[in-house]
Amino acid sequence: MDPWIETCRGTVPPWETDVTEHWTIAFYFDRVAVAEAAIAEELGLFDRLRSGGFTRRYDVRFAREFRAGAAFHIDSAALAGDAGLRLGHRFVDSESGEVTTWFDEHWDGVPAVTAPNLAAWEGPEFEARPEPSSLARAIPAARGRVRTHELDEFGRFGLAPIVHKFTDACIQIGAAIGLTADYIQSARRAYSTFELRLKIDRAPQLGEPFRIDSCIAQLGNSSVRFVHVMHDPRTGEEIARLGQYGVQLDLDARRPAALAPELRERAQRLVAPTG
Amino acid sequence: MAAPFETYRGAASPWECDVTEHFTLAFYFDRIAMAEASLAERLGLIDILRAGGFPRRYDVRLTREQHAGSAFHIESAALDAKGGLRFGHRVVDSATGEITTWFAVHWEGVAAPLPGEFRCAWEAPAFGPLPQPTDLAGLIPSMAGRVQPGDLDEFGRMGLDGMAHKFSDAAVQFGAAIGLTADYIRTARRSFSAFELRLRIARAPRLGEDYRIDSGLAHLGNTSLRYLHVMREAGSGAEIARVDRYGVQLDLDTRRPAPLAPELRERAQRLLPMG
Repeated sequence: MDPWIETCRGTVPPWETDVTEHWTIAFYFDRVAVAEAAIAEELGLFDRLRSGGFTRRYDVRFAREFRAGAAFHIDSAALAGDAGLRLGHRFVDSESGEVTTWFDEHWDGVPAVTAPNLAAWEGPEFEARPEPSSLARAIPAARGRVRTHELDEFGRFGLAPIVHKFTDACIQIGAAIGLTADYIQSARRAYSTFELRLKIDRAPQLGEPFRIDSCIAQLGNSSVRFVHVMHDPRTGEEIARLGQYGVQLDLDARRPAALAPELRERAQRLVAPTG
Repeated sequence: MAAPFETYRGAASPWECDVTEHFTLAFYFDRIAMAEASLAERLGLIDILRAGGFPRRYDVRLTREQHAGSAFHIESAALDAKGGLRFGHRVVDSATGEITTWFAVHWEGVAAPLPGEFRCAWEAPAFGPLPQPTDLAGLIPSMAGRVQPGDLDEFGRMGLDGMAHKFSDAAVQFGAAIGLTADYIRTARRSFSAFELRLRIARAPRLGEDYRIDSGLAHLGNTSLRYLHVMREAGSGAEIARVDRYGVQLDLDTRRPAPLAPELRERAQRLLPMG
């Protein structure tokens, strides 16, 4: 029996696309939240997911874009070869059968399942990325409070809303280096993500405040790796962290494009030491 | 005097923009709801806000548009405690530092003290008295519905943005009544753009409550219009909230006011006489 089961099927509505003119990353997580709950139920882990209290990690690779109107489904499985619980989700273009996005998910401290039907990971390997050793160069990039419509089915700050806040942070730090709304429109350049490393230590509750600070951990010719850290502004406690690796994209050619010198100069100022 | 402090930071998403091709009004209120709660928490007033039961007024001046992908933040201040509490919020373009929108907020009849260390000097535009029509008989039906779970705020009542979205629906309905239909907007490249709002909320409805909105025209200029929308209980007719919306017909390409076409003016004239 195939260990991969279908956990979500749907489409990309036009209103879920962003200034990069493709499906915005937070909505991938909206669907993965559905897939995650479905596979947890299948594996008898639903109550564990509902009670929470453990760190979740999502390593994500975007291999191909989804545009408005795309039809897709998600296959999910428990993965073999790890002491802790490891789940895989793959987004499949329902028309072509091509895998477009890979999610490698870990529940830290939750023992691996002993299901007879564990899948092998066929997705990309995620190499270790150096984290900033200091956030002194990070800038304030998002701030707010958890609202009612941002709660998931378990009553906590949901996966997709958390990522929406990180997207806000990405737009803020993008604007800080010159990738403003005006620039995107006139220069036809925008930021496009190819890899994400998300770690959620805990999911805040309704009405809790949060703040995100962002910096650049790596600056290439066309590539930029942002690191966004969400924390509780009252205590400074880290809530979640996202490493976001992407390129500046030519919106017409859909190919990476080198940063203009004035943007590069501004970006240099936000590069944090890593190690 | 204290300085205003940051209560929100984020961005305008493409799906939060409207047919006028800018950040739609209700989403300003979505962010102001967060800013208001954060400010209240900082001032020790969150329990008063949570309990509710007092009318709130929001006088808003929009001085510059935000577009999809715009990065912005909100700075908030406690102003004074004469005849209720008065607060200010200003929306700031994070890339340029320019103030794009001003909110003056009144909590009518609330007698709580404002801590002196949080009082701020605030150089905002003045909002003069706005004469209200004495006869609402000429209003036309523009919206009706029922409070849905997605409309609720973190306190379990119809939220600011939930309410503002209903008034936006009413504005679209009323616009269509004078000829500013979806087809006309698309072909003539003209749409309504608000520059000032006066919102007064007498009480916030609960989940499942029925409401209706009636709308009328309180002013008709060459390019400018003033819409009045009144939200009432569907059963008793008791007023829940009202908004005065001052704006212009905008040329969507030049982003400048444009005179109403004669056929639209003629239709608008018929909706004008309000006592």
